[in-house]
Amino acid sequence: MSLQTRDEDQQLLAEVLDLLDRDLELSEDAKYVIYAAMEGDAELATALDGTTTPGTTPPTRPRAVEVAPAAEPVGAFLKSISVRGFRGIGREAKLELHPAAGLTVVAGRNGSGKSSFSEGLELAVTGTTYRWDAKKAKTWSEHWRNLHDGTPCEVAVELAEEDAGTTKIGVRWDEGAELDAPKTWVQRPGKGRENGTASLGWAQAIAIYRPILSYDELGGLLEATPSTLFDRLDAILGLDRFIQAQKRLNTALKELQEPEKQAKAVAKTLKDDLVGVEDERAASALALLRKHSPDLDAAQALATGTTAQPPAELAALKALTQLPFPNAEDVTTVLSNLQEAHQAFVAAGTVSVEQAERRAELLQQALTFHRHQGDGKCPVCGTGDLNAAWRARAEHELATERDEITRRMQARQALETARRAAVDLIRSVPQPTAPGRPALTTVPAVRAVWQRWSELPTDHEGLTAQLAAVHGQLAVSIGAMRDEAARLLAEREDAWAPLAVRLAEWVRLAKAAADKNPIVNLGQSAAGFMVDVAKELRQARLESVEKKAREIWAALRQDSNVDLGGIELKGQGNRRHVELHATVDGTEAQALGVMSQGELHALALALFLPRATMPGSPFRFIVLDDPIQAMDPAKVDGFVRVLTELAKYRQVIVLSHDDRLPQVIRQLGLNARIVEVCRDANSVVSITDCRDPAQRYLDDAFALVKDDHMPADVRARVLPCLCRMAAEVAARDLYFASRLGAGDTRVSVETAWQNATTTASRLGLAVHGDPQADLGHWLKKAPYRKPAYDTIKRGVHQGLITDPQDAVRQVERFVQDLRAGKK
Amino acid sequence: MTGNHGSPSVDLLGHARAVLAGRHPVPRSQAARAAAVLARQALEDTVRGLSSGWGITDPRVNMRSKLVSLRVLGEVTVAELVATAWWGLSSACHHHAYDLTPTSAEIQHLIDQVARLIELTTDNPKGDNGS
Repeated sequence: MSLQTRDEDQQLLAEVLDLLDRDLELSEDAKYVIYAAMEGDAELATALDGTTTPGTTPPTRPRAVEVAPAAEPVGAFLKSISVRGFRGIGREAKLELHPAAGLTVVAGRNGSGKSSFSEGLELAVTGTTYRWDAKKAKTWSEHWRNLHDGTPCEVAVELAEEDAGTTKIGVRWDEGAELDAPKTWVQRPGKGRENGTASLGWAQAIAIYRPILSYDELGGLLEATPSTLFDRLDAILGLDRFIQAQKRLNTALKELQEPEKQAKAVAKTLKDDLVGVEDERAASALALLRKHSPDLDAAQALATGTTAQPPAELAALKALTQLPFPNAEDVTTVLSNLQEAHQAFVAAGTVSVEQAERRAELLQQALTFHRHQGDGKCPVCGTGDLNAAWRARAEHELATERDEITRRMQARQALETARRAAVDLIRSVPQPTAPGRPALTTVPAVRAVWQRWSELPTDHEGLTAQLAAVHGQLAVSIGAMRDEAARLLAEREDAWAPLAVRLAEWVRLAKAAADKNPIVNLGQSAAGFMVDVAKELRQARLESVEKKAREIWAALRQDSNVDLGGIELKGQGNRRHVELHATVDGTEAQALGVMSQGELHALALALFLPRATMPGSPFRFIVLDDPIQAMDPAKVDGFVRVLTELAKYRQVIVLSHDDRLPQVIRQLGLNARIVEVCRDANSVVSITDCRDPAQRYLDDAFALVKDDHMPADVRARVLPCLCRMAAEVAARDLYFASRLGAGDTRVSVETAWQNATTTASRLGLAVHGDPQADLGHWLKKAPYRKPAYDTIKRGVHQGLITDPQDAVRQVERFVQDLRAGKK
Repeated sequence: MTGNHGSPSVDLLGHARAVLAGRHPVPRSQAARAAAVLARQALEDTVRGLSSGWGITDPRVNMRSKLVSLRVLGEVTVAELVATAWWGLSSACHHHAYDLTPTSAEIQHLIDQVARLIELTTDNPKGDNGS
């Protein structure tokens, strides 16, 4: 029967496709996503992957007409229910039913065993019963096996399945088995028994349409939690496949949005952790993360330390750690060079080089004078003699003098060089510049020492005396500063490294999210559209339920002053509930608050009878167990009307513990079958087909015959009509039961019956299965058949010409033959 | 046809409504039942009119025969209305072992049904669809 559910689903799919076709705003890709979501997980995955592949032609969704099911799905009627050893029934009792649309009332006093049939049916079809589920009553579940004759304990149900034939389903308990350990089985026409009822595929449909409704359950429907009522109503709207599709798409979207979600989560904690971190990179990262669309490349460069401009504070710190500074050896070398040069300089003489040079110049001039003037008296002193001896001595002296001058000049130069080296050494230490942040505690000390260092005295004694000492102080303070800077640097890197890793992770996730962005947008537009579609579909379907419920309520309410208004399914999740609007003498109210217990029952019927006629239900039957217990007599009239209306299209079986329902049916002369269930001693249950409609027509006919005062001409007109109705009802039951039992489709059986408009063709269908069949042979088989046939055929037009009592008796036997299927 | 204004059935129904509304000196405890009796008389009068249209004039013809004939010869809605009102009012006119006295709302509903019947049969004086 899973076929039916598919048909209903196909109808839903067709509706959705139609809505998609008519929408002009949604993109074709998004429309395809919706279609794929309704088709399944794999289809949706492909649709969401496929759209990212460039260059491929997108698959197209089918048109609504291509998927719409051709007609109403086929379904099953009840043919019989056999019960043995279960509840109130001991020896096997079989309730025969006409497997066709029509109303059957199963009447029986409380305790007659009639409910055992409905409970047995419920167990066979669903594997459980409402009573069992709802009450878990110990006494009930202890005494489910018949006390008199409880072994074997079994229920067998015959179903006339359209297009299939008679299918049997059953439930059986082995001796000693517990109630909740029944063995269920299914037997398809021409096949062996299969264990379990899974092959019927009814599990879901049972839950949704619940074709078996008891008084208890009716009462429970409106007393259930608001969400239960919501679910019950929502289920019959048949939107399951669409809701599944919505869930499927939302799940897929969630998965697609996972990187984004993770990215956001990472960003959130990262931002929290970045605040207050004393590192300009943290500030940059924070600024980046706070942007609406962050520069991912910049963030990546920041994380990997490859920014074009290195961070200023870090650079300053790094510079401090690498501050150039002469080491002690350099200072010693410079100092010893200086002292050596100074000693050499001092040793080279106390007379100044200028004086020696002037003396050498004078001697040079005297020698030049002597070369030009020759020997003579010294022109300077006038006493000395300038001669060869003097000349030799003077030339020697001059040469010595010049050597001395050169030596002295060299010593002076060496001293000068050594001194410059010392100055260079001092100048080689740049003034340390501390970054604004972080504040280094050691910097002021360094600056103070450096000041002194840079202002060291220039004279030899001062310099040589202080250089080493100041250097020593400077070395200590700079060392401390370098250490501090290095420590701060390490601290910063230690703090930054994990943040950088997280920033890199965020970049990876954000990039993945950005990659998924187009697909997510597509999915979101599809999902948004689906929300609207769901609302629209639910509204449309609810309106049809609401309309039917209101019709039923109108028939049931009779003199109630409560008018049923709209039905709304409201809220979501745990807050979902049903709002039943009503007006009490024109004043707005909530239905549940203003109704009496009896009215609530009627309301529950009004709400839940329509589901028996929902197009998606594979059940052509609905069983109501004692629905009128709390109903006012006036409401029973209306209820019978509702049932007969329902029975035009469905097999309606009503179990009733009193005679009110059968009475109304008899009074109104309605076409309904009444079956009486009686229980004798030892749980022997008998079923008598009392007063089926054919018999009631005949009863009415006999009543007319017996009324002596009835004018003969009126009687002659009325009697044949009653007789014909009796015969046609019997013929219809015979024809429907045999054809539907054989597996013909309901539509074909109903059409054949509708097309047979004459009594002859209807009898032909019933007796030979052919409207054109010649009835002559069958009519001759018994002496009363032909006259009875004449009464119902010609009498209607001509009036009755034979004795009324004989005529009705003949028709009665004729009808009995039809009912028994006599050939 | 009897459904015209001023006809016995309309008058009877008017009395039935008056009794139910407490405008006649009938004890409250009996008002519903008394109204039912009056309404049933109005109904009988209407059915008498309908039946005589088909030649059923003998007052001794019982109500069941008339109802059965009405189902065959009359309109479905009329026949059902008559049957419902008749059985409802008949039940209200008698004391039953288990049923409670009908409420005035129920009788009101039955009176409305008779009124509706009178209205229908007035619109269609023959009360006959010719079947």
